[in-house]
Amino acid sequence: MRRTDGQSNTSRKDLPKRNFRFSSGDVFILLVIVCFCIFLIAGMWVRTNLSRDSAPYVRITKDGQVLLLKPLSDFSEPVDYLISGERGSMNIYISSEKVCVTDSSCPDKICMHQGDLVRPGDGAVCLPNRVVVEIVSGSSGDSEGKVDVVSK
Amino acid sequence: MNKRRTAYDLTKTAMMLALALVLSILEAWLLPKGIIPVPGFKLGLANIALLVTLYSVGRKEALLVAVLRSLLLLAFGGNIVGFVFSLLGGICAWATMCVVVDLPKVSIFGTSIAGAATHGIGQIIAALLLTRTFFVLLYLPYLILLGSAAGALVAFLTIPVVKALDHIGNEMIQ
Amino acid sequence: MRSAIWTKECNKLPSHKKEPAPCASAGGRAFICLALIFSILMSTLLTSCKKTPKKTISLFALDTYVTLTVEGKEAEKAISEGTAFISEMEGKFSRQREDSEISLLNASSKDEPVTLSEETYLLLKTVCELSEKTEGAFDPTIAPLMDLWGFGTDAPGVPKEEEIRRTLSKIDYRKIHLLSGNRAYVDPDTAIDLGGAAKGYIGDLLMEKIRSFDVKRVILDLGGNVSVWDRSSEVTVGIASPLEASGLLCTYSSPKNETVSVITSGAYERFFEEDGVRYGHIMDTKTGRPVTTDLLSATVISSDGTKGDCFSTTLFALGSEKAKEFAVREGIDCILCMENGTLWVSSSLKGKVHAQDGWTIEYFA
Repeated sequence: MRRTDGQSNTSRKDLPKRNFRFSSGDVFILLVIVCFCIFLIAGMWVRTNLSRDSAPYVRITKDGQVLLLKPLSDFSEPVDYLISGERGSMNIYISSEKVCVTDSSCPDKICMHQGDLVRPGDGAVCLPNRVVVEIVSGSSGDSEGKVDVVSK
Repeated sequence: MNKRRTAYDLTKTAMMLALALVLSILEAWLLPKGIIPVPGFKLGLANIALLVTLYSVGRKEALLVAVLRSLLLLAFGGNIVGFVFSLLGGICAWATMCVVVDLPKVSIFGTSIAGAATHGIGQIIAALLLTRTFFVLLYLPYLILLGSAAGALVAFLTIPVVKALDHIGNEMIQ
Repeated sequence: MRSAIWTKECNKLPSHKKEPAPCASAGGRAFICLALIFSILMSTLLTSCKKTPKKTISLFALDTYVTLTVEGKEAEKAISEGTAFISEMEGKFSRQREDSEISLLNASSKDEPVTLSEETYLLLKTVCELSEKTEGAFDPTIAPLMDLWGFGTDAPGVPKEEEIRRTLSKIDYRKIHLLSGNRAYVDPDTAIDLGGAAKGYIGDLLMEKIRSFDVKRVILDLGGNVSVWDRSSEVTVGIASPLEASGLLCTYSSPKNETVSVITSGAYERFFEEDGVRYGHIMDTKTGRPVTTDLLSATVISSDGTKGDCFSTTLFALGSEKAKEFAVREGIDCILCMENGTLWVSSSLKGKVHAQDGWTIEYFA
């Protein structure tokens, strides 16, 4: 009666089958996951490397709305960009070399721990404030970079 | 005996819920800050409880554990962001594990790893919903690979628990 | 992808503050001294760079995203004053707030007129004058119609024809009665929504306020309503394309040391769809339905943001032919965007407006 391999319970129809030994199906699952990741990483690698020669842009998004999209080269004079909202406030330092979150009212401060954002693909996310700060390559929406402000 | 079994199942589910809660909190404690660059993301060590429930109680109860865990975490001073993350992650993991566990030649390892990987996908969906920015997708492969490693560990730790529960159960019911 | 760990490692690379391990030789000591001096110099240089006279703030106010950019010695002070001013004005003009002056005005009657603040009274007066000028095409008493169509709520929808007709009778700017001593009342069957002019007006006042500080460049963006001023150089303002999300129609360069507001109206930002038909948020005060127009957007460039805000809406609603007539008659500088890719630009703007790819400029006078 004291069977420790767990077979005693499998008689109940709603319980899944017990297989505690690494099997061939597991290898297949692992392969699928690894392939998926390689595919994703390759896609991102291609995206950042194809656009390497174009200018880096800083993009700040809040609640999915783009607050700022400008080439880093515009910031030869560094700027402190403040965001304030009902959820909290953030201070983002932008210069032509780097972007970083210097202050945030969120409890975990993970966005500040991200450090300097330098190349396209770098980014910092602040979920409590719903703010994403990222560096993108110039191909996307360059037209907004040439102007100081957009009327819409 | 049927009544006994029902009571025993209930006890197991409750135990696992408690375990899930402890593991969730423990995970936030143990992982050094900065390893996971997005707030709210979890590797899913709490999946141990989910997996044990799935194997030794049933599918419905496993879903119950996943949902109640998120709710209780919220009640115990969690924030709404963390709640959305753990809920979506938990439900995705549960759905995947329920499907994968029935596939031929798949052991507890495959089930756990698949669950952990989709746990990550669920969290990314939550992040997408919250930020409405595709930027968070960059974290996806990173999260899936880390999660899968954690998934293997989870499976390894789950086996003795399921066996022990069976052992206790057999003694009690006999 | 780059994770936190990688970026952190990158941070360590250019650390000039790190000195090499001490070594015994004199040359080594000299090197350490040099490195120390160099690193101190560098760090002072870097910190001095960080003190910037340029400040930008983004906040959610007036039902939209507001971004203020100020450059100059007192930028920080000007910005915090400006932010406070915006919330003060929002408290006066918002129809959503029950204690706002506009809400009080909407609850007023002939027997109980309300006393308004200077700003609100002035805005109301300007708006009534402008309504008269546009022969009611622009009307601040549009609120009941907006409510009927459900704009500003989560569930907009097409109302019944009969309801539209009934609501139309409520819409008439002549139902606003301005009395002496900043007092006013509205007829009980109607309601005022200053959404079509308040942002332009607030922009004007805000610009005045911020310019009273020691600043040299001010760019205000109140949810797409732009106001700019720069003491010594031009400011380039882009006009958003109604067709693609981050594309532009054209750019406009504002003359230096002049306050210019650039305000665009169109139905491409706020609309809803029902049964495949798109309904924009700008209403025709004659039919009570969203305007049918051959314009995609209308932009007014003027020194007066309140006028600009009202007229851009009016021009858009009028359609290209009537809009051109109206603009010439009132002396408005504008850019009208047609569906076929033509931009009708006032001839007084010649040389200041540059079209983007895919759009061609034609002047009218």
